[in-house]
Amino acid sequence: MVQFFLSKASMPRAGRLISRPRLVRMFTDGVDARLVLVAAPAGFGKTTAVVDWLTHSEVDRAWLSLDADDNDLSKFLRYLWTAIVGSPSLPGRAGSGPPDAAEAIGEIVAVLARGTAPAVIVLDDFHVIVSAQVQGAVRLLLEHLPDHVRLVVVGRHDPALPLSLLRARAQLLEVRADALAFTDEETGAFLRERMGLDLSRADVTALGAGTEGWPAVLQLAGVWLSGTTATSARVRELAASNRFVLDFVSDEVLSGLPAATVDFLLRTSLLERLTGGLCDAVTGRDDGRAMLEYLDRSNLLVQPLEEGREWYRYHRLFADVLRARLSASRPDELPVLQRRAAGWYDEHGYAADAIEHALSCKDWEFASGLLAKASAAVIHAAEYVTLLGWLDRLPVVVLREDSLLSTRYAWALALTGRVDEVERRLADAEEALPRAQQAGRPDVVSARSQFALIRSVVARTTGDGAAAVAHARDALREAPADLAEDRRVLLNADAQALLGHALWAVGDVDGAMAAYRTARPLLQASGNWIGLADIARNLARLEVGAGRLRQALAECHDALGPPDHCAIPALAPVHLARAEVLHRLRDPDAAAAAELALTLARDGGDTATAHDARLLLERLTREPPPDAQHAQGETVAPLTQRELEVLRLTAAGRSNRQIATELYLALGTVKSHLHAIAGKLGAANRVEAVAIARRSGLLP
Amino acid sequence: MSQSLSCQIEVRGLLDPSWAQAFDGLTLDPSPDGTVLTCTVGDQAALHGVLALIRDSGVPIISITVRSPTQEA
Repeated sequence: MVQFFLSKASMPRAGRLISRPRLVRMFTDGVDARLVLVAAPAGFGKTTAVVDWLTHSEVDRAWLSLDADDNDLSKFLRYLWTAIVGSPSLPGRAGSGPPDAAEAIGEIVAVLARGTAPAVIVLDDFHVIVSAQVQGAVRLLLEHLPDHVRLVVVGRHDPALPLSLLRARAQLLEVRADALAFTDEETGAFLRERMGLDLSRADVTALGAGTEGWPAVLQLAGVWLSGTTATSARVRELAASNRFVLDFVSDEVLSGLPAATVDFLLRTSLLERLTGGLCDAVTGRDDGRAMLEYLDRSNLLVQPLEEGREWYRYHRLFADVLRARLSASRPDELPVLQRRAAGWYDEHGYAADAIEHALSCKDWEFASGLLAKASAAVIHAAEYVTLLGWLDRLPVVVLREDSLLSTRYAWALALTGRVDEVERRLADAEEALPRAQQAGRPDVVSARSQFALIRSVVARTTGDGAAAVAHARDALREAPADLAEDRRVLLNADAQALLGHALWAVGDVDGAMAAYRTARPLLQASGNWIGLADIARNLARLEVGAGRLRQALAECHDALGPPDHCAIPALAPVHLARAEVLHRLRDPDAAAAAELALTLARDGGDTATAHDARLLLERLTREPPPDAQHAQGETVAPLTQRELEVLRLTAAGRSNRQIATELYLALGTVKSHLHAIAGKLGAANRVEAVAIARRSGLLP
Repeated sequence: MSQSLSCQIEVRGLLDPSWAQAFDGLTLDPSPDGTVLTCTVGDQAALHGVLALIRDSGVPIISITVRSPTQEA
């Protein structure tokens, strides 16, 4: 659903401000800080300063630009995972409830702990985070951050993090407005190098005092000053004004621009991101691209978002000024512009932006249509909180009249565990159904089956297994005869999987397995890997429970199917199930299978599976296959399991620190193990210890 | 650090004393209408951090006074 996914999780381009070695030094000198706090009002060049530092630095970095949507904990954790691990995260498992922040952060920390090179995690625009859950997750990350990783929090105000504690421990580096404000020297250099303005020293000082070194305001002032030869007079005018300096300079800049340019700026100010075609759609003109290039070339009012210069954005402070002016001077125009923007976004496949703007301009019919089109994908992506947020912005009467949207509302409620509210929405959906059917809407053909599926999920959540079974069977029975083949596959796959879960819950193991086996090929055919992984893992567990280990293994292999399916990250739980079965079979391949499960789970951001796979791997390392135990028995002074592990890693060329990380030991413990090993083997150092161990068959 | 600011925020209702731990050097005193929170902050960003904390808690604000030490003298 999120089209700007990658740009959100990558560092913005370096801006065209001057390089500020003073600030870069401040960042690099604070290497011991666990938390770097960059806190200052809008337009103080916070992001630019961090980008400037990181482009001058060798450290590994993960960047996350936050927005209001990230107050949804599951969304935040997925983006954080993507930013750190570098691979897009899979949606959460349907109906798995709210994500476990401790588990997810634990897995992120485990990934970070694999490295040793200095790294930073940047959370930009952290002030948009108001969710206590997300703030709590960040606190957790901060507490468990490995020594080589620093967290950089950038925002307009101080975050709700334990700042005093970190300050007392000298683990906090603060970069604030007083440091970010331009010095007179920087003001002079900026105007000279970026604006081609050579001001006298006195004028620079007066300008610095008048703007208090506020970088974004200085940019605007630079645009204003470059339109005249009488710069000194303008500087004096600014310094003498008692108006809020941002109002003063933006007024002056706008009044100096041609009317057509001001019109363009105002009409496009509602857009978060600008591109030629979108601007044309909104303004009703045809000069969007040319205008953006002109603004880009001639001054600093827009910033290109990527090298190709297709997408731009206004500086936020400037956009706020323009928007305030638009709503003050042309209040009736705003909804018209929003409606046009929504239309362009819809035509170009930006569903989320289209919905946002359609809801903002209160075009309910258009918004309902967009939501009907997009909501299945949003549910599939497990972005329930986002969907509920959108649907809640529709007037109640609009929502109740729409059978499909009421059904989707009920789905989102059922899957987030808000089961008490489901029936009311289903009642609305049922009441509105005849009208939708009369209108011949194709998306309500299987409505009655959908109602039954939702009720089955609710019954399972509330622990009523018998009702869950009955509703799942209803869903199969209610499936209309004339359903198109692809829809039939999807519906039957969901219904059989839910029937399997429900039957297992009431203890009908054979029935559950039969339903799961019916669901398997349907899920494979519809490419629903998440659903497939769920039922395959359950099948394997049921077989294990019945003592049929070979059969359990076969279930995993059936689900994994052709070799090219094996590397699908969503199938990580199947690999984990396979590893667990192999472990029970004392098969030496268990470790490799667990390793693969861990890798795939990390690729897919499936922290729950990653967590279990990592624990299994640790257990496998503690309990090596029988032949290793046999070899140990032959030595004169037997090594402990732990010592054997340390020795094996030493032989593999790992440093003490790496061994400590891999085995979750303190560095000192690793050293004392090595000391004991050397003593038992009669070796002078680690190299000799490895050689002796190899000769005596302790190591391969 | 730029000049520090002393701020007093009066909110409706008696706040739990545990609030004092939520922010650096925050003190709580009961008042006729509720609670007065007093703190000294380093700059505007830190001040807005205190305000965000109050915003997120949903406590209604009655009055806010901010002074720099020179003004107090």
